[in-house]
Amino acid sequence: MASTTAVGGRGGVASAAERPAIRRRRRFTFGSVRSYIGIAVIVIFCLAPFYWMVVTAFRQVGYTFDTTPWPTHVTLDNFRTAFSTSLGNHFGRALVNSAIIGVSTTILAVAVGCFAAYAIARLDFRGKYLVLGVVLGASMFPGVALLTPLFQLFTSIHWIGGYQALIIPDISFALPLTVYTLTAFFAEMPWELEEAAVVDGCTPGQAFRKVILPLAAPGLFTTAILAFISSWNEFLLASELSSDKTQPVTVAIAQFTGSQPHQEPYTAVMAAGTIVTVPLVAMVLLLQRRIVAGLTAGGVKG
Amino acid sequence: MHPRARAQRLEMVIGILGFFAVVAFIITVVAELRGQPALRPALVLAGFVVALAAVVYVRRKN
Repeated sequence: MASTTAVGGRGGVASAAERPAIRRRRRFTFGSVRSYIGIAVIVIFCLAPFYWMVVTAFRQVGYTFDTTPWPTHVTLDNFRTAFSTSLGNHFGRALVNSAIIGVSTTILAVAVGCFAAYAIARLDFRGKYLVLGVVLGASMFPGVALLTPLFQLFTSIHWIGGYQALIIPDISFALPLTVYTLTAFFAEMPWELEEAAVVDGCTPGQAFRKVILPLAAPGLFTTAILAFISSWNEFLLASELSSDKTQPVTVAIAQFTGSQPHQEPYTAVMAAGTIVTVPLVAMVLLLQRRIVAGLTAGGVKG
Repeated sequence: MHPRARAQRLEMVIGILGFFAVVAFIITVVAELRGQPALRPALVLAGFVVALAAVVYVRRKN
């Protein structure tokens, strides 16, 4: 009886049967309902376009503009059309190009950014935050302002249409992100580890390679993923600097042609968009923990 | 804010402003050499230089 009267009171002991009732009461406070509504609005706002893309990707061409909110007249023809080369679309090749550009950009940006970030975070030299400011300033520069000069430069050195014309500008966009993220990560790591490695006989280079780098793996991993995503989604420069043979998926999808003149193949475009998005979504979902851990690593100095 | 943290932040602002000042300087010089109207780039450059000088002054004062 004592437990029955004490239910809901502070310090009262509730029986096992009564505990769910207490939880239920706590769950539906006004604040929590408001939070859930907020979360639902944000999730719907973010996922609705993606959902509509997937739904349209599986629809028959004749029902492209059908407004039924769930999949109807389901077909896989759009995916076949997306990969078909009979209409002059080269989606498969574009996927390979995107992978080449993305992987090259990521490897080079992380390799260079890693050393730069280490120097800024760990070495004591005058004006190192000034260097970081210049890096940040460079990342604020609008890409569209670089388009014409890059086009002229690459035309004059015959780089237009080559992979290097896409990879080098992508690296310049990915590097500030890499340097800034990794600087915060390296700055948080304890100095003692490096000192201990040097005391044990490591050279500074060995201490960096054998002690610091393995410990910085989550940060490197996060940065690599972010660099890859930014490179994978790049469209503006690729649309001008690539040729038919080197164009990435973003450009290939924008140039999709239908079976008749002036016909936009919406369903095939949606299917291609789904194919392009799925690897990124899967990668982010699988590595979500590492990404969050890496992103928040430099947030608090203890 | 800790003086060292404040100094670091100001250094970063100097870096950002410095970068854009250099870009504005290059644009102004190119416009002048090509005989194109350079008043607007020059005014933008002047704005960046004034802002940069102000931040450098504050940084030295700390």
